[in-house]
Amino acid sequence: MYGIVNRAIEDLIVHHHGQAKWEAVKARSGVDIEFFLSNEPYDDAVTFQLAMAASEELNQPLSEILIAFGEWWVLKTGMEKYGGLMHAGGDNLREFLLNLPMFHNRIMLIYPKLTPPEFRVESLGDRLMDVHYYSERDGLQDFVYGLLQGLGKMYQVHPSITLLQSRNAGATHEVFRISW
Amino acid sequence: MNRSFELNRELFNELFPFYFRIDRKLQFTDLGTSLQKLLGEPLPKSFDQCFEFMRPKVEHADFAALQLMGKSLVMFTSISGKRPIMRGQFFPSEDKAHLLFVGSPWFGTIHEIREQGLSIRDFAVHDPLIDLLHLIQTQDIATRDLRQLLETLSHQRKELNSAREELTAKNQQLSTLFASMQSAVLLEDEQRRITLVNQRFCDYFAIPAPPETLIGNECSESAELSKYLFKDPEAFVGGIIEVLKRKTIETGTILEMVDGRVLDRDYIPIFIGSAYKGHLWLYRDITEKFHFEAQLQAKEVHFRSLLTNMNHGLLEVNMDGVVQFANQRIAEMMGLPIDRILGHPTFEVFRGNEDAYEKMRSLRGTRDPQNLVLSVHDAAGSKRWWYVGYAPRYSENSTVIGSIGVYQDITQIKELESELVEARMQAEETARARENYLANMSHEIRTLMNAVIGMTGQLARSVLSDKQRFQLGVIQTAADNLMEMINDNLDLSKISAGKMQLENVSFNPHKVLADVVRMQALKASEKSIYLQVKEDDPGISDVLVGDPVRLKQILMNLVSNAVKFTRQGGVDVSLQLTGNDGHEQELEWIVEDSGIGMDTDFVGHLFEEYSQEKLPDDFQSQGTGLGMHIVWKLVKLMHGEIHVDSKKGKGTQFRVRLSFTIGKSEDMQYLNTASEPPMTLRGLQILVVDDNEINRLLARNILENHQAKVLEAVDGKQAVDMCTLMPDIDLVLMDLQMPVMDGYTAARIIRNELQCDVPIIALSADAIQGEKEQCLNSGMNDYLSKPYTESQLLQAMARFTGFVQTAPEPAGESDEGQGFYNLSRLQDLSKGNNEFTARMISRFLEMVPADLDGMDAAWKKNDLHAIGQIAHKLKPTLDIFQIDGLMPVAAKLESLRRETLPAEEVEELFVRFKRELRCVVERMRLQEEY
Repeated sequence: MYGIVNRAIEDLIVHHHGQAKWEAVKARSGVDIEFFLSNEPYDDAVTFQLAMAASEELNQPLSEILIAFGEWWVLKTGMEKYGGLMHAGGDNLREFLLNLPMFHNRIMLIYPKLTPPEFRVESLGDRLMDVHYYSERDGLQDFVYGLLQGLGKMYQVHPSITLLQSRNAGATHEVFRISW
Repeated sequence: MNRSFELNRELFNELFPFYFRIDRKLQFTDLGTSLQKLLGEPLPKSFDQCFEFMRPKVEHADFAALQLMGKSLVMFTSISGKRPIMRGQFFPSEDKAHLLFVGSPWFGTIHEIREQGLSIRDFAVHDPLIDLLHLIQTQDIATRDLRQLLETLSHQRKELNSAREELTAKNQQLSTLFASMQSAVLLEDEQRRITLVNQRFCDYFAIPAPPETLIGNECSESAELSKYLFKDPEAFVGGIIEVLKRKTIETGTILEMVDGRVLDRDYIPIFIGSAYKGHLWLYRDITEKFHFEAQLQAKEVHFRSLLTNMNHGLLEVNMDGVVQFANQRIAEMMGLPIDRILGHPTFEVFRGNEDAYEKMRSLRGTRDPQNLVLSVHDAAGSKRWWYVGYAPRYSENSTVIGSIGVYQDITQIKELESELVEARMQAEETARARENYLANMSHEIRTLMNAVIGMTGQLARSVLSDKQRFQLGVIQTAADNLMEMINDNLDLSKISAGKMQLENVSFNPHKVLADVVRMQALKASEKSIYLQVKEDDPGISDVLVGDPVRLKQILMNLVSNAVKFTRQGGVDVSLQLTGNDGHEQELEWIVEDSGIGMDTDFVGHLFEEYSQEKLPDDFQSQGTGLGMHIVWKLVKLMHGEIHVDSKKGKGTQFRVRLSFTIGKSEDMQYLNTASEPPMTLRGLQILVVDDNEINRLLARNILENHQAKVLEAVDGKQAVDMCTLMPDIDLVLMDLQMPVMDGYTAARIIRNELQCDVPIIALSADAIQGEKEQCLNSGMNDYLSKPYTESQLLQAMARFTGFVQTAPEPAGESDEGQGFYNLSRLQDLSKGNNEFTARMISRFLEMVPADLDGMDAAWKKNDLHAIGQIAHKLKPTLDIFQIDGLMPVAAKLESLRRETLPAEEVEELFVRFKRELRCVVERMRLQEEY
């Protein structure tokens, strides 16, 4: 993962629980990195160690941590650092979701060391879509769930999100049905 | 490959959504959808209407000029400046009548796309602008990251610098501290390399190098190298190895060195987090403290031993009331084993003695030391007394942290004290009894002496043979001496008891002196020595205020002694004024004789009680040895001085110096009146009040001899009645203790109720302290104690009658009595008046059986006081009739007035008294009949 992800986790914990808690999470994770550079790739293990340490330190399930992180990624990290790009992504949730696959495809060019997930969007109606999520990483479904929730909040709608299929249940990829 | 292909307008628009086509007039002939969106409504009609070139520079932007730009990158911007720069390329159309522009707007940031109302979808998918903007954004984020990182690093560097400076300062402080510390300090790192060390450490361990040169040295061998300095080298080395192994704080390790010093060592391991980073050694020289503590400990052991074994109980208690220390003695006093006291609360220790516990508990916390006495019961239940000294115990900051009590068993002292109190009470009782005895004895003796002196005086007036007169003289002298002794003893006991009260009346000092000389003149004349007033200072006031009686007593003693101890020559008496402040005069009397003088040694003891010098054999009675002592006491009582100067064989000089207030002449009125008295008592009516008939008879005898008319009353009530009926009574002689009504009451009634001012003279045989004052307070005019001489009686009366004694008149012979009684004393008293004797016997035979009947009646009522009263009344009668065998019995019965005797003894006395007195009556009756 790029450093921006780890920075986002740090910001999330510092914002909600303070610097000391972040230090505790970092100490618990065993990650000995003082400063995460946003455009620098880090081992995926670092991100997972931080997420798990946060879960233990905050005494919250990992899924909750990842969902919260997904929302934070959209509403705070995305908006603050790529606000223009986010807004340019579409005038509404539907437009944004339709641009989502191309958006991630472009990222791959910008971050050459990144292996971004791939999205495919299937429009089933004006306010109903299936979002197909393909990733080489395991265990980030909850993060995607949080991302979708965050997007809903960004466009001020209250989407209903259902995980239709998952690699955990033997599928090839995850499919989220989102309606609003 | 086919070199030509066609694109329809929609497809072309999708590929180049910002394209436009212009004709020769630069009029737009076609516009891409995204460009239309960018330019907004209404759409401009011609290129030059809305755009102007930026690059390349064009002087005149017409169709031809634009045509020339083919294959060049052109950039133009909107004239309004509100639109973004357009970048792209012009292509001429095949008909050469149009130019086609293919390009897209250029944005600096992705935000500008939104500001122009565009979105990603307005750009061709292949257009890399979005990706470029994304990349710029990413670079911007990276830049911000770097900026933030730089700021963080800068901040951290500042903090680091600050910390480094602080650390340097701390290091310097630490180094200074280490250097100046009283302790020897050695700081080692985890490799046992020296980090810090001070000079004192080098001194302690005899290291010759300066401490700073040791830094960085390795210490693992140092213990071995310096162990020779310690008394137990192996223990020193072993101890270091042990503590280094344990790595825990160890303080207060005592190390004794071979040179006698004693070090106290601390080992402090240093951990940062859980990482061991070295350790600190601290060594202090505690040689002095060590030895002092050892001494202190020895002393404490000594004192504890003392406390443990001392005879006082000791209890140390804390503020919770728990015993901290107790010695063996307190355990013995409590009757508890020591382990039942130590560490136990005091309420347990004092169980059974709750009052004592409460007293001690109430003191807890008070700051004032106190003493108190506790009453307790010991383990055996015996009552004990403890004297407790309480003192608070203080902490170092002066807070009371408990108390200490020193307990002493004072039971024996208490018992002794109780015995002493009892003894004192007994002594006081004895003293009272002695006083009573003295008063009683005085009463009895004076009563008797009244008769003796009175009757011898009367007898002296009768016609006597020379032999009889000589014998009478001996009797009178003996009687006088006896009275002097009695009076001396009474005076001394009064003075000793502090009951001697001085008069404060007006008197003439010249007259007092003259009286004394006159009274001793006869004796001097008999010894053929002179007695003269050598000097009588006329500056001395005729009236002074004081006690003339006691003054006369002093002078009489001195003058009579001078006469007594002078064989030849004589006695000079002088009176001089030695001081006068107009209010008081100081007088000095000098009595100087040419007598036998005194030893110097004796002079020093002259004024002591019972002091007597051995005298030549030709001197007769020496007296009681109290005279000079009384003189000395009286002079002191009058705040004066007395000095004596004597030489054996040469003579003696006494000087008495006294001060008196100057009085007024009018205060001396009655004395002046008395100075011209009538020659007899003829015609005066004098009432004699006494329940004792013998006393009445005696008084009557004297008074009738001087032609007075005598009336008699047997008690106070009769006296009051007679004063009521006979207002022309000239004088009353009043006894004090009488039945029915006593003399005091009678006097008060005569004065207060009858408003009668007849002179009343009290006559009493009791001579009790304060009696005279009591008499005067009840309205009587004067007081005369029995026994009195005729002279004394007449003198006392003279104040009120103006009488002066005349020559004695003749009297008859005397007879002797017989059997259990003896009439000789009565006959003496009668001075040969047989009728008087007969009347006395007759009265005896009437009175005594009646009194015995009264005793019987009282006995039946068990009224012992009444029996005592009757015995008191009969005593003088027994004395006159010399029924000597019953006198002690009468005295015992008389004491029933004041005290209780065992019933058996009373009965025995009563029966004996009654039986023997009835026997006397019967015998006397028989004698009289025959």
